[in-house]
Amino acid sequence: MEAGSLDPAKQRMISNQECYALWAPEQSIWAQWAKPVVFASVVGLDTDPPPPSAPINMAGVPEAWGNTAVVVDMPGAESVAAGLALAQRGFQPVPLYNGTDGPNPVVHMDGLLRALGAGSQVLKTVTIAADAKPAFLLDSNRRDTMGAVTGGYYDNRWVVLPQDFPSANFLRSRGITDVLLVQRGLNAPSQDLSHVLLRWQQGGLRLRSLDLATGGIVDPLTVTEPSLFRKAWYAAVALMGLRRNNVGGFGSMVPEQTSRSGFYG
Amino acid sequence: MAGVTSPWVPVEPLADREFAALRRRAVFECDKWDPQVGDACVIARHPLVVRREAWEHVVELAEALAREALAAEAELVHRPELHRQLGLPRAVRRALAHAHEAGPCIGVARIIRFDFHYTPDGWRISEANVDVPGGLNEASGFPPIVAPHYPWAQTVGDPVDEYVGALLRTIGPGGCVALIHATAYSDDRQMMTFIARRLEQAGVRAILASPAHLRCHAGRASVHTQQVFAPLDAIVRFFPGEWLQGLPRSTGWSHFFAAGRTPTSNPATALMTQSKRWPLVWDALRTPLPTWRRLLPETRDPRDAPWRTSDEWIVKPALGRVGEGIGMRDLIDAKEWRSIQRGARFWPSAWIAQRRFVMSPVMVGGVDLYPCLGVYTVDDRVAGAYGRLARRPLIDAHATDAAVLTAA
Repeated sequence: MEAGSLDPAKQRMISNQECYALWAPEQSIWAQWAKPVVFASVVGLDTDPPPPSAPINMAGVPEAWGNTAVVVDMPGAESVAAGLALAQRGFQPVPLYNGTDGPNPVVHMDGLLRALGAGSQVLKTVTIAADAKPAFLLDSNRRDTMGAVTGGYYDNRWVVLPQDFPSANFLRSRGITDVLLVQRGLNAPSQDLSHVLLRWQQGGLRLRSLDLATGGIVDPLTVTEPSLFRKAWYAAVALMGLRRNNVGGFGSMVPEQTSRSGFYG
Repeated sequence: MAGVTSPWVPVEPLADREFAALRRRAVFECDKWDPQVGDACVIARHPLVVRREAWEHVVELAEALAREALAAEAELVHRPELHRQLGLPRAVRRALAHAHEAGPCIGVARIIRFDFHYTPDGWRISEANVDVPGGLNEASGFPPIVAPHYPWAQTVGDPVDEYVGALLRTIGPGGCVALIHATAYSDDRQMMTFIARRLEQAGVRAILASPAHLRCHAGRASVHTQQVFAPLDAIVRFFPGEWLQGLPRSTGWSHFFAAGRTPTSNPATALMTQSKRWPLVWDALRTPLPTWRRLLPETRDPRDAPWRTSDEWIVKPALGRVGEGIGMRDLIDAKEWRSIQRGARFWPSAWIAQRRFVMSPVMVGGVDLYPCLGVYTVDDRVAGAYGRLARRPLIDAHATDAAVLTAA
């Protein structure tokens, strides 16, 4: 069966291309940053609602007609739910999920894929302005298992890189002056994301952080340049068996006789 | 050749709406999963159109280059005294020395990409990707979806079709092929996915795998994972030859160089002519290399060229790829230039200095762009091409990928 076509019997499925089109609508300037990998690696996605997750309270997030872009960094399906909640508030969700699925994966993709499929039906009912501000969606599970992988797993961990996002200049050219990081149970950004935020901060954007678990806001969020900045960054990438490239890394089977495949770095 | 008409046909880019649809087709039909890098879309809004007679000339040149490179590689296998000059890692040299005694890995469907540039003095090549040429999903996938927008132009071939055909001539339908690649690297993964689909359509079992999953017994390779055990009829290797030495010994990686009995595309002996230092051994070879000598700019050891003071010379890492680490002082930032200078001064045997050439640009929508015409050969016959265009005369990761078409 060709990618994009579905067995008509599977009425609850949506094709990968249709689903991507709903999450990355052509009229949105931000659609070009939406990562196609997770959509392109499956034929179709289930549109049945996924199991309910913790309620998403976005009261701390400004309305989208402000000057704020949002970065959501939460686990799989919860990140999608946050994106949908932000869509209701006028933001354009931009999925930046950059992992593939495989046998015995390190990062489980089922929940995320189900949420994207079901979420696409929600997006059909929401009107988002063409000039809506972006809400970039990340899966915080992408690197949570770093260092805990044993042989035989499909290693689909990934990292975010500055080139996965628009530059500070581009964001400012679109009237964005602030970036809000939304997480649950955390205020500080993850290591890979901190490199993105640092560049935005250096580019003149004001950073804030919202912890959905407590409602606590850090304002401003100041990201400091780590000592031995570049060495730490490259070391982290190499240790994960990933390497710097256009869209981050993903998808290696952890070898049977070694716990890492770090020769790529 | 001076004064020859430009081979490039000026074109207009696609309108926004047409391009948006094309971009989406590239993602889903051509496995182009990395269409955006920062603020830039790396899919060109236009084809690279080359005049037909110029294309026919390039075909002759590329096939001659391929014949000469394969003949030189066959000789180099048995000239271990020259290997040290190629700038290859010690473990690789040891494996190559074994090839001299036990014979090289068996090759099949030898694929090479030559990167052509047009200059005021005619065609030049900046490099040849003899080891693991990339860009095949773009080269095969883009032209059929771009050409209908430019009905006055024609495609120049489908390199993946030719490549799969060449594999099939050896293994036949029903065979099993492992596509070995750096699976954490999306550029590689997307291309392997594209080729695997074509192989499956041709009735071949295609296994996407990491090189760490290989096992080798008596020179015959198989794939071992928790899910799969499969003896292999052939291997498609898209994992750089110089990285093989980092694999566990249990993978039998040295069989990619020597004594490998599973037909491999490409055998890692290709690394000898992939090295940008291989022109340094030309004079010691018996193989005539007239086309290489004509098209590749003069190449020297960095210690023998005034690259630090003269803009007529550039430096490149011997095993550099996709424009990484190219020292062109006026085109890169000062920090990168300092880093490259350090590398070339401290480890000159891993670098080369090359005489710089001037690229002729092509006009696209009123803007001059600098093109690279990457021409694929499969078993020394031209199979197709991909195009890359940059706003500056340096083709690197920020260049856009373009379909190559030809027109009268």
